[in-house]
Amino acid sequence: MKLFAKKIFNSKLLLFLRNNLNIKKNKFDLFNIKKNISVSDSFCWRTDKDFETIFRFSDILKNFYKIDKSKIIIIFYDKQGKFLKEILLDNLKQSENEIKIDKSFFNNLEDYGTFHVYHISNIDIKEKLMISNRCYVGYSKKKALPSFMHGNTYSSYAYINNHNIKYSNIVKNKILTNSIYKIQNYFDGYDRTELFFSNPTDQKIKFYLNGRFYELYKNESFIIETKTEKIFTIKSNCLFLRPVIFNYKNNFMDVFHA
Amino acid sequence: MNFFFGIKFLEFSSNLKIPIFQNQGHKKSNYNLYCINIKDNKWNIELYSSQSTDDFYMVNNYDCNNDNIFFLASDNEILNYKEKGFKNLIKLNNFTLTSPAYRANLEINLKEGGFSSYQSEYPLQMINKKGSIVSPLNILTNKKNSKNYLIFKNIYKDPINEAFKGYFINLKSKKIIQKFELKTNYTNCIEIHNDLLHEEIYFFTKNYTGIPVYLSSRDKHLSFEHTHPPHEYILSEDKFKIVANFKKEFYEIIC
Repeated sequence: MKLFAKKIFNSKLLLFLRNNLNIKKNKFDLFNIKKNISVSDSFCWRTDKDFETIFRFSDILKNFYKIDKSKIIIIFYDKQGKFLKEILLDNLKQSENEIKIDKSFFNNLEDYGTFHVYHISNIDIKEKLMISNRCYVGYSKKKALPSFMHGNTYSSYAYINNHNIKYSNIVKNKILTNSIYKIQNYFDGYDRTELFFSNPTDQKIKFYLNGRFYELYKNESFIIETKTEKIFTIKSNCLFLRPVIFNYKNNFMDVFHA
Repeated sequence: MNFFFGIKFLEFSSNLKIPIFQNQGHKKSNYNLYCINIKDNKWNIELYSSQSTDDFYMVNNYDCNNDNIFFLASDNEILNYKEKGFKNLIKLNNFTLTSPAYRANLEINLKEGGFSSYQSEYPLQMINKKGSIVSPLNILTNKKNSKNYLIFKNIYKDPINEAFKGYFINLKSKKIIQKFELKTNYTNCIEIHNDLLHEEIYFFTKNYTGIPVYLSSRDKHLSFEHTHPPHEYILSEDKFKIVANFKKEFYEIIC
């Protein structure tokens, strides 16, 4: 009976109504996923303006489930959300795997975009697994020490066994553009700030940043630069839209998720 | 309810920007910032007067030391707390209990050098717990010509600076590589030598939980970020059982 009530409470229809009526909102919908899955964040990569991106991750299937010989698929998108490339990594180490994303990685492309990461395995998994590798991404400018941060927002998932990738809107949207996220930092004393926004859903996101209107399509990303604003308020139709922040002062840079 | 903390060691200092609003915008103008630390084995609570804006309390690098803990509360909540004798840290309000988590910006600085920050908090539910922490040493550190440090913050409900052990453990060889002393209610700072930055080596504590944060410095540039607790990687309902099994390996090595 309890399980049945939980199923009803978390059904797609009721979740839609709850989120739009602001009654026990749930930003993420993982309840309606039935099979073994690997959830990815929407990570951002940069090769523009002398940036290099360092991506580090651990082998979660090995660490927690003792599953050997798993692989990682990483799919890269450009800032318009178009597919750029896909790589498959095997021979994973337990806790330290690293790839460097520089302009040579993309045939001299100096730009930015997003990427998604999924664990896959050919081993038949009996139990129901649901994993999410939050990973760590470092951003280095002019070969300086990379500034690291962890994953910022769930985006999509892949079935661990059949590698079928799904964009099922784990992060939920609503009809009205009235979901507020006010960044809990005061941006004073920096030369400039960049806010890197990406769309973790497969629907159009509409949002206002300090009253200015923007739209983001599926997998799309863009950077908003500012020099004067000290507080940022985001109002959107997405229940979990938070940017990656790049702060600059003198010759130094800091990166963190808002 | 969340607590906030700072760091001070070697040539590094820090500052905190603590918001007086929730990330959905709700504000409590009557909330003050309080600083708490241990004096004569008791919690000592003081109203923290600092430079502030309409929306933030700023904690300067003098007060952002390894002992001070900060939290938001109203005068009435503090009066009620005083009546209870300030015996241990308790929940005073739900204002900082939000989703996403209510956070302050903790920025670490190097004199005439770089800066690095993350959105930080120490959740109330962690202060009641004794338990263990596992964190890989190499995932946020940098080997190339850099200095690397583990910053481990513990806040515990009782006003004690109790010593407990931290370990660097090689999971593959199942050996303790380094054993060192940590302290409760303190920001502990430990240098990590480059030869320990291998994929098999983890930081582990047995008796107390806390937040492991890694700091790297090279050519005056800094990188500062925390690792996730293992259960963050597992979304299925059996996450705590899976993590307990993972931690069991570490317990067996140190026993």
